[in-house]
Amino acid sequence: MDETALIQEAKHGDLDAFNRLVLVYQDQTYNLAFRLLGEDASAQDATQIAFINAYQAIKSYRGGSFRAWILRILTNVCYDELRRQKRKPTEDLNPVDIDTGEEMEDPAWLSDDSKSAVEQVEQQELERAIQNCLGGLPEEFRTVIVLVDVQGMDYQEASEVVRTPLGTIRSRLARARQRVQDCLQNAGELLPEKYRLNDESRP
Amino acid sequence: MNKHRNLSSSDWLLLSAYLDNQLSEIEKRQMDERLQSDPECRKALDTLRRTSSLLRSLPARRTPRNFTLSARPLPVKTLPSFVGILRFSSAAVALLLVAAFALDLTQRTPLMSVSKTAENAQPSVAMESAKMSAADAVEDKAPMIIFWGAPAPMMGAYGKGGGGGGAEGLGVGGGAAPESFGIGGGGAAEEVLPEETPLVEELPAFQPTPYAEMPVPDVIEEQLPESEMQPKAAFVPEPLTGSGPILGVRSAEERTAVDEAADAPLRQPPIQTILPFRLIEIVLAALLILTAIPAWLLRHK
Repeated sequence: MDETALIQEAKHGDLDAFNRLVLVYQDQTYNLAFRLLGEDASAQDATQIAFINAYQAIKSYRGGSFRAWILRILTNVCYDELRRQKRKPTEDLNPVDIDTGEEMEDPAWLSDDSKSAVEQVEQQELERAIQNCLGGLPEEFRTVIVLVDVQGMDYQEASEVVRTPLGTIRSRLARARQRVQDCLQNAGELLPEKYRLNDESRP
Repeated sequence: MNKHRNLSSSDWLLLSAYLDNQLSEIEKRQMDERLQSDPECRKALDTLRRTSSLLRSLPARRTPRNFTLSARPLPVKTLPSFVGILRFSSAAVALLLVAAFALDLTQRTPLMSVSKTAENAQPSVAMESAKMSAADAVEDKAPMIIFWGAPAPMMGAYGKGGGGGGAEGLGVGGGAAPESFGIGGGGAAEEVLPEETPLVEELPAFQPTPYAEMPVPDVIEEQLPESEMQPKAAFVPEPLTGSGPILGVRSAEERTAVDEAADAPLRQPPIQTILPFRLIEIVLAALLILTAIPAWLLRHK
């Protein structure tokens, strides 16, 4: 069954059809939530709330990119969450390593088994650095750069998600890239060598 | 920490769009030319490209679980929160307060000016009307008095005598017609007449004209003795100009009533509408304080 048919079924209250759409889009939705919120538990909550909201509002879907529609609902949920976090800062509840007693920011069950240990460590360092830099961006800049650069969305679809004109997407993306670039250059020493942006040996 | 100091933010915008192939043909050609001639621009583009590819290299995280919905979910929030209600009501009260102020201002400013003129004008109007009524009473003494006094008897006259009777009524006075025809409103007229008999003499000047108009001479003759009474009816008003129930009072009342009716909308508002406005504004302001303060205090929850 294609997406349009599933959406029609869901509009008529077919939960199974909607759940099939959830399975298609949950990865992208969760990933966007994670990049926007920078934390797993909040990202999961936001994703779940977004799908509930989407199911309740499915009749208001009027065509266009369904992915953009779902992700728009998610960004709104994330903005609400970010505002709530600003008002009530919370402690990060990452799992604690039993042996060392230290907090594990990236639990083993989330790591990618297909890479070598060194690569995994480097990857994690890079990811942490990027996530920090993304976290320092204003919400609207962060959303655009995650949609386009992290998730590989084109300008048109990104503009559908955030409901802003293409020109705004273009300028926000340029500003966001510039700021992330500055941020990563500042963190250069902390990054694995191959990821450093301010490599003086380059022409 | 931007190392490319010679590049403006619009240059960065163009470079960023160039990276995604989002420039128009002309912009793209210009950028190509610039990249060939400007090594700093080339380096900036290279750094930007690496930044973008670093972001793209971020691994997609595996979803820790499925987010499928197990049953038809209940509405997340069916009722607005207490704080929401407070916020909404305080906003609504604020709007009402503004509206009340606006209405108050727009109502009051014209009234203030009008009420002054009304107050100034009123006494003179009253005076005029008083003069008028007095003057009218004097001027119209004979004819007007008869005319005003006539209606009740005339009704009787019309009832019985028709055209002739009417002429009689008009010319001679209310009392004449009923009595001459023997029936009608005589009762009332007769009661009044005896009391005022002493004043009969003052009427003679008026009598001739009615008699001249009288179509039936017999009737005149018969009525002649009674005509002494008719004048009484016609005469009634003269002494009563100020207080008589039939004539003077009625016209004066009417006039003042008309004056009052005209003045009423001008005079009343300043006193009567401002007070309710004040009251409404005070109540709204109190409500605003009562809702806004808790809403503000609870906003962090």
